[in-house]
Amino acid sequence: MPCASLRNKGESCEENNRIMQQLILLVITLPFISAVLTQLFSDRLGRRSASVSIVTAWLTFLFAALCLWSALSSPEVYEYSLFSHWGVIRFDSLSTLMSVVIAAISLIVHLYSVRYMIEEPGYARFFALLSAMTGTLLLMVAAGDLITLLIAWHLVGILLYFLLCFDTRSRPAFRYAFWTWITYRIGDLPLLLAAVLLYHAFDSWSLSVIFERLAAAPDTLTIFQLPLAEVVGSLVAVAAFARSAQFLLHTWLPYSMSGPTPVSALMHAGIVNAGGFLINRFAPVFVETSSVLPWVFAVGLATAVFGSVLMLTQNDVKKALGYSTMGQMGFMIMECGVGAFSLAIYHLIAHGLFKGTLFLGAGGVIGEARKNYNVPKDPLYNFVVEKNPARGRKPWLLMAAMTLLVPIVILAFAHWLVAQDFYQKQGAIVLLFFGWVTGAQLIFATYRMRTDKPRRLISQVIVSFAVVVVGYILISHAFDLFLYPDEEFRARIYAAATINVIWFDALVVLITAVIVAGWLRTYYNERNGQCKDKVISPLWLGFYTLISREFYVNDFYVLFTRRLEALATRLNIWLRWV
Amino acid sequence: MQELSWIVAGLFLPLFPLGMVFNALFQRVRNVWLRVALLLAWPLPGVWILQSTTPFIPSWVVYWALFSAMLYGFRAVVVKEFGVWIGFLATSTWALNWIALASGVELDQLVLHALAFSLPLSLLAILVGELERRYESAYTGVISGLAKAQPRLSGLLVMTMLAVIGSPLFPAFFSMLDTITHSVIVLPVIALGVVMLWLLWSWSGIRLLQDLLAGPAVPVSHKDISYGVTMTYGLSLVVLIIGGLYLSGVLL
Repeated sequence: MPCASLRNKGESCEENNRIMQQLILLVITLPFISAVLTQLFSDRLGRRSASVSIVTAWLTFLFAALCLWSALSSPEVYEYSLFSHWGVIRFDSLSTLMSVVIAAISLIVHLYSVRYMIEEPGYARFFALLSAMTGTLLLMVAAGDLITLLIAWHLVGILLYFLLCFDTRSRPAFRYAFWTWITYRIGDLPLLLAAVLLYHAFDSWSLSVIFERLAAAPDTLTIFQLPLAEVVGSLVAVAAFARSAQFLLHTWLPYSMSGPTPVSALMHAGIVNAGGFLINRFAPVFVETSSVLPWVFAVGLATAVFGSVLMLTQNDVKKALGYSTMGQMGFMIMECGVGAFSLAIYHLIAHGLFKGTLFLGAGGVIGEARKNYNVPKDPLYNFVVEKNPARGRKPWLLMAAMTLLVPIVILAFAHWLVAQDFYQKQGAIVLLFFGWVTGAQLIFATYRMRTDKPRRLISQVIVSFAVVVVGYILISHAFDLFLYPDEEFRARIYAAATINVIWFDALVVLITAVIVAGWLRTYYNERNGQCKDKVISPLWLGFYTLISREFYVNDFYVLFTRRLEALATRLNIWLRWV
Repeated sequence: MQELSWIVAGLFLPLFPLGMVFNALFQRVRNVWLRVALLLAWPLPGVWILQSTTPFIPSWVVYWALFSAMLYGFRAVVVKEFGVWIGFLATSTWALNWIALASGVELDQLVLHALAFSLPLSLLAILVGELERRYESAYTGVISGLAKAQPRLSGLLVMTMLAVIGSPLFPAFFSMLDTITHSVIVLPVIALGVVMLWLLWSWSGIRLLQDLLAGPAVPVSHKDISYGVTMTYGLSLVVLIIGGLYLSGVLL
């Protein structure tokens, strides 16, 4: 009887496995089939060819949702191999979750584009490219071996280039699409090197095999007798930086708005998040590292700061949105850097949804603004646009105390709900710290806002903040359990992100002191009416110049490229073009 | 005798300055099919020589090969004439055979590495012939807005260019992957150079392509290639992809 039961269980498992394989294959192949059909029948069907793309986008989303539902009910890993050495499709919690996100965003973008792109020449080509991009992204997240991952990773850059320069008459579109292309290619190369190093070390392209063998031999050495995990972790991180527009590899992002709006939405909501996915995919490598994640954190932090500063100083809304994405990507990479890998996945999904909404809603807002120039003035408008601070002051000492204490109490409570020992993890402390700064800034902004009912406003802000924080932490905890069910593995990720305790404490104290001193000074100035400087200092002017030129990063790259091109021309002239 | 065979091999798997011979010849030949024959046949004597002599390749030759490949890859960045560009790319890609051999790629697979680049370059040469037939030139300084004027020809040029610069699923991608896989442990610095070279090809290829495709069409109307011819060329690209998949099975 037990044997029969086991046999039945085994058969049912095999059946489940087979169904899953078919579903995953359908999820990935449907968009590619759609791309080919849309393009092939474009002459015959005209604008109706988009309907092929829409139907398959719906089906892809439904099948992806089914896969996720199946993954939620049984957290097993299935793999399906198309060829002997590569072409492995992996079905696990990360790939199914990302597949649903990609399929959902793609579906929304498809539906939006039906009317938005209707007057554009090359309507069918647009949908074909969109479907191909969806398929490639799905292949990327489901890749179970390094060659398939490399192929999908590379193809995303190619397809994005052709989506961005969809309007073939526009030279700026081509120019900025080229920036994207070359940055993506730069990002492909470290991933390629990481892949071949892993292959050499473990004699397999399969991710499962590599991760298993790395866990068994974490001290494996590679070229120049360097630790393999550290080298591969660094290379993967650089590939993620290029894809997610981290500082110094970010210049393409704010300038890639020349493409159609649905492409911007897809890019900002989906493609740019690939860095966070890649780091999560290579989590078994990162747990074996000791020095990679701290500098991943540093790069993310720098990107978040530079992106936010540049966003605040833009007078072009689209560029401001681009830099906003850069700041968010910095935050996502920073989360990876502190070991909160699953939080980064949650962040990229949340960011994808709100940024996608912003882009897709932008056209409607612009259209509305064209019809009605008179923006209705209310307290929020006065505060945000005209920057009129409140006339009546609340007691500043009370507000300062509230600013500092309320967020930390809410955050500590929310963290305590999910893990009582959170304060023992540096990563959790860092996230707590940033949550505290954000919450305090929110209450600080409220302090300056003009309102008839200050108590009501402040209590509303605090309640909203509490809801957001508790929701964020609970959902991210659920992500943690889904993506990394092994508690020991989760602890090891946090451990890999840990730095020397003395350095950590010193940094936290220093940054806290600087931020608190800044707030206190601002409160004090507000109270004493010294918030407006009468004379602009040369230092301030220099800083303004620096940010108005976007830290001269673009200028440097353009100059460098021109010098290289001039050198190549000179060489060609010397060598008579042969 | 050994030295002489190496010099001959250096002519056909071009090492600088011997690569100038091929480029000078390729630029003089105007007939499309002769160009195709040159692209397909030129590297083969070099491969055969290396196969028959099975030499131990000194490290300075490997560095020289990388220098030659990078020099032509770098020079291709500013080239605006398709014929010159094809010659430079051919020179740059064939030089990699020295690196592949020194890194441990099997001798009988060397010809596959050479053909992985020669085949897409030949297809590009044929398409450039179509371009020259219409515009009497393949110079991007005088042709622009091709995507608008000749969408089918543009599409094929784009796909072929992707095949030439080693995009995934085309044979050149797997050839590059194999070369890097072999060289990364034996010659890590060389592997890094090969990776940079791949970036140079992408840079030059896309730069050339977008000069041709972007912008308003030149005010001369030419007929685009027919649907049937497009399908034929398209089929060639599909064959290249199948070849790439086959190569992945053989090499990796």
